[in-house]
Amino acid sequence: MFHVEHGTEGTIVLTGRLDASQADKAKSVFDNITESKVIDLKDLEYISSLGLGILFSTQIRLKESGHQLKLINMNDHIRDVFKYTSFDKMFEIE
Amino acid sequence: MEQKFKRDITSLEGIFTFIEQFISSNNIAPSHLYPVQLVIEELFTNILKYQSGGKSDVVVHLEKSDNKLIIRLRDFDSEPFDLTKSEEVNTNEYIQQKKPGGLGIHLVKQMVDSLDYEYNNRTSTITLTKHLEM
Repeated sequence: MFHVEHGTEGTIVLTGRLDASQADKAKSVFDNITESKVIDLKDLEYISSLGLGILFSTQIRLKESGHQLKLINMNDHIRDVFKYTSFDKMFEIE
Repeated sequence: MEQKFKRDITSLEGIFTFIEQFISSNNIAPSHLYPVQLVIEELFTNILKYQSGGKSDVVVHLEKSDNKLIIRLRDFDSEPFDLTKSEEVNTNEYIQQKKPGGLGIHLVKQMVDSLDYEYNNRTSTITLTKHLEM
């Protein structure tokens, strides 16, 4: 299962598995982000290309207005996926 | 070990469970679970997207042979779509163009050691191999 929760200090916390069957749920949340946000991936186990595309599109849109997403607590598998797609160059990752 | 899956996005959960059981029962390191699930999801959703007129189930076959994992997907009702000939994605250009999409097959190619495609009698067979470290 995949969940999106609002954490402390405006952080958005992603939990579970963001596969293609959960992409609509993620998109409905990310489409409503209009300012810089920290996205906590501590409990995100899995992401595939559709989920990456949602993060990518949100980052592009936010950067046009001087905002951005910052990604924290990414696991090693997801870090690999970001490296393979060069998305690690698009996001501040901590 | 193989299993048929309905060509529907709701099949993903069953596909993931099938892969997990295969990895576990063949003593394959758990670190391979993520990349194997990712490549099969990308190929399966590619079938749903580009072969939406097909009616048959999709067969996912997994096999461990020596130090290799063989992954095979068969779609028995498809038009030809040779993934091995898909244009290479230059991820730096991709970022500059600011256009999402087309990343799935790029990820598959990054995560496996070989990718083959055969088409015969409306059946598409995609075969991937991935070396497993000892």
